[in-house]
Amino acid sequence: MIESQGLTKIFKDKKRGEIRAVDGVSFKAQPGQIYGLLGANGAGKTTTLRMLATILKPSSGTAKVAGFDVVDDPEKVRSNVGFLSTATALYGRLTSKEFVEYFGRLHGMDEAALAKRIGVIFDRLDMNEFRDRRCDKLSTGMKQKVSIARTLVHNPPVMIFDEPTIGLDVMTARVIVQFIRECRAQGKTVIFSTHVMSEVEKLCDTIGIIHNGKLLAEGTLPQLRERHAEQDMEEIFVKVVGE
Amino acid sequence: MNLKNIRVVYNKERMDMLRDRRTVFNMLLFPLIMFPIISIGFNRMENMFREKAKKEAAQIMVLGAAHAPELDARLRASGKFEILPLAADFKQQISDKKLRAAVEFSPGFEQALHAAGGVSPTLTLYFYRTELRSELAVRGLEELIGKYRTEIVQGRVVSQGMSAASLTPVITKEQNVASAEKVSGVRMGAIIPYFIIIFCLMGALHPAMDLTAGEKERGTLETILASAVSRGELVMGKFLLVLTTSLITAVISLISYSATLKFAPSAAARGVSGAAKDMTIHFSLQAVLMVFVMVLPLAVLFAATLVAISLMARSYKEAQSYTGPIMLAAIVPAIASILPGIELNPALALIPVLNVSLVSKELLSGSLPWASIAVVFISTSFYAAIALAIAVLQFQREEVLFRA
Amino acid sequence: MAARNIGIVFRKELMDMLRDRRTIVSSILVPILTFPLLMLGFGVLATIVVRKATKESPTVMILGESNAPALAKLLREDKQFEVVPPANDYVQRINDKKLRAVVEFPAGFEDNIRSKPNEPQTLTIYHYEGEFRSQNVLNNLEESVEKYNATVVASRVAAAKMPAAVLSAFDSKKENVASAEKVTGNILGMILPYFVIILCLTGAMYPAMDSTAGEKERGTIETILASPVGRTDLVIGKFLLVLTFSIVTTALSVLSFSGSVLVGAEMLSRVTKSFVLALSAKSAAVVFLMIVPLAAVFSALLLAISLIARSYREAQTYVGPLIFIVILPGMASMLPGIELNNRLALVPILNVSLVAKDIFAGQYHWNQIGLIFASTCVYAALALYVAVRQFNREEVLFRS
Repeated sequence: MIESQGLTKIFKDKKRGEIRAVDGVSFKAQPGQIYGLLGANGAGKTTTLRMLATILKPSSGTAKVAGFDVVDDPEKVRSNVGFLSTATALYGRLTSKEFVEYFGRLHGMDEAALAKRIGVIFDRLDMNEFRDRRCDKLSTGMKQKVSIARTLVHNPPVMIFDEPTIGLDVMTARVIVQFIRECRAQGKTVIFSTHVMSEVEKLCDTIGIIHNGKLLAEGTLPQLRERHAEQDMEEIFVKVVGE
Repeated sequence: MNLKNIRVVYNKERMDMLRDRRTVFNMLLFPLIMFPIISIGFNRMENMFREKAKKEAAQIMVLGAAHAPELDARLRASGKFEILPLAADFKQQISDKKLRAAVEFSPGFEQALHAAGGVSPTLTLYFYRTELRSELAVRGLEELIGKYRTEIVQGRVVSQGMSAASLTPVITKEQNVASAEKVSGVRMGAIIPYFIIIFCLMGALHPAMDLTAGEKERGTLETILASAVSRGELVMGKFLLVLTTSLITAVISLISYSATLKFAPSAAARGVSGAAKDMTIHFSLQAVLMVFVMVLPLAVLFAATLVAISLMARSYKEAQSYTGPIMLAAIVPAIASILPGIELNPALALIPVLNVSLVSKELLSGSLPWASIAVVFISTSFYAAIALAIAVLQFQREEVLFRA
Repeated sequence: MAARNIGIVFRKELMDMLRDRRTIVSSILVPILTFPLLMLGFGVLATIVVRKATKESPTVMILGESNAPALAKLLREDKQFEVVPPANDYVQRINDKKLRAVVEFPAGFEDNIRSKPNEPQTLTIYHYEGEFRSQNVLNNLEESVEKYNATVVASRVAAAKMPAAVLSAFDSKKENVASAEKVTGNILGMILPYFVIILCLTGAMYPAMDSTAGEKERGTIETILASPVGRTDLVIGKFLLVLTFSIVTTALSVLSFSGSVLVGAEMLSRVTKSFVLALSAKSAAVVFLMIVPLAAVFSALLLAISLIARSYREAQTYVGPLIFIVILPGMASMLPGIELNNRLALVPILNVSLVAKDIFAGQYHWNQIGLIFASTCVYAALALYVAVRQFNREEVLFRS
């Protein structure tokens, strides 16, 4: 479960003064559901998700992830979150196994449990072929799988994805999309950000449109279609943002 | 190859580079401020400590002073020494630098001196070899003792009817016949080419890597390769920019050094060559310009080599690991030329970098060994041409341009 | 919990860094190879110069030989130079380095020596001031002249019916009382601390830059920040990594130069008995201990600087001046005559350099050593605090 109330993030830029990257964003994401955060570049998606993952601290407002407050209990939040942004950012000199092990250990898993879990994940994602290969020698698709394995190693109830399919070709993007669906099937709370309309239409149970840091519209796809008298997600988006 | 295209490429690279803070720093600020700071700063510090050491009254001990009251009195009166009371562990104290030196007179020292004939007495000087203050103390002692010895001998022969002057039948007068330029040349002539070469290299390094490997990394190389400019023109434009920065750096360093020499000559001279006397530096403008002409093909060699090598790298970081050894390889011959006793000869005139260094040494001392100058210039230009050809060829090879 | 996480981070960073070829080269190979290469280079160059000097016979001209046949004969017998026939263009030839020196005897030189014992005679030696070979020849000539002086004075004394002993007032001996270790230490202390300190810094450079600015560039910093490890723990883990490399580099440098000195001493003792090199293990060990807190200062500083940078390249731009700033005190300590005193003991880096100089020479001023050790530790703690503060600032972590 993800709950945010008036989440705000203000950056101070030397030249441009105060920037409200995220401005009073409030929403709820339920377990077993996919919440999609839709917006253009610079709309505040990444900043919102970073605040939920406790990477950034909110300037004001609150958020509760898996029942823990992001400001008061950031460590507990992180233990319950699987965060994926740039899927291909790995430690090049480590092998796939070593990479996933590192994060498993940081999550407090003991060696025996960790080894078992890695065995399960690598089998399920069909990664055993490159288990002991250095990350900088992997193809994009393989790197993706390693990142996914990393987010799953501690079996978190909440999954946060920041533009996970950016720069990926059709086939490899499908792998990510499939994975996101599986997370929902397992009852996890899933939130992901994107500006790809087709993904939104295919995946999301609830859609939040964010622009200039403000959440301008929220609802299921049928709700939004009715509210704004459009069928196509892109048209809905343009309408909402244009107002 | 189209000259206009080369110029377009060159101008863009130049504009780009001037906006890069690091290049500007390396190219302009660093050489400009380095010489004055180092020469003057160091010289001040060194003088401060050396003079202090000299002025300090050295702490010594005199053993057996009763055997040589006259000499002992002179030591005390000279003001250069602080005579400490006797202690048995004087050797340990010298070792621990608590005492700088000790003088020991053999029993009956002065008596034996004034008795005619007989055995010559001995005195022993104890000191800490290589330790500056101890060595200085010993030098002071030897000076004073030497004077005393001369007086004794003179006294003896005079008392027998000879004159003191007869003890020095021959006086040697040393006269320097080398021109002021030559003297300057030999003291400093090695340092200046060394610095010019180093700065030439330094000025070329970052641009060479940034314009090739750096562009590969940023993804902009691909874009320019798809444009109308030919590969040959592209590499020439980049090479010319690297050459320009390299020469500017060298010129600025030269100006900075000359200015330091002019306005604080003794400071700069001492700071660099440790010359003990004050001296004026004489370099003719002509000599300096000739040196510059000799360095020109060398700069071309450096620029071309660095560009060719950096191009093979996939990223700026990788380029650094390739160019590092090259820099070292170029610096070593430059250092070798500073050693005294290494002179230009036909064999050495063919070794790159070293030959330019040595011939510059000659030029700065005012000589014009035309044969050597020609050999050095031609051979360096030859090497430079080869390097440039290699660079151009590299730029045609797809495996190099599109390394993954 | 915190210690465990620091341990996990440290172990991963260590494993990662050991696989980086560049770090291996700069932190392990370079410190090991620097000193042997330096010694080798120095030895080779020295042999070349000596060999060249002894092979070529420098030329000398004698003018007015008829005025001093005996002395001229003595000069000709000197095997260290070759006498060439007189010519008028000697000034030019000296300038062109074709002639190294000219000895000129004025008219009536030897006659006057014989007939006018109370009037010293002057001979002139023309030379090229400052030029290496000319200077050598000058020294040789003056030595020969001194020998001649001595013979003449001896004969004068004999002619005046005085015993020869009249001329020898007393013997003076010079005795070095410092042990071979102290002499070696004094010499080593002038150059080694500088090198070891520089190597300590360069050993920390790549690990520091790679694990911070490098991570930012590769995009992995966000991932680790989303993991349960606290920010402070993360910094400390990285700091320990950089410190490890810095200390290993320092240890390798100390071992390498100790080895080089001992080997050099061995080789030198075969060539000449007059100069013995020796190095005490104690001094090497204490110097190593003194540099450890300095390694901590460097590591923390480099970490803080690399954190502020947006990319690896930017980090290098900042680190460059740092190297320069560290080199200066190191070089200053090489100046002869600089000794550690209470004032200099407070100047960072310079104090470590100078105290290392003293320790090499076998002097252990324990209170000064303690003071310097403690003050450097304080600087290290400060630098680490700054690094941790930086890592907690979002503007620094997510600069774009």
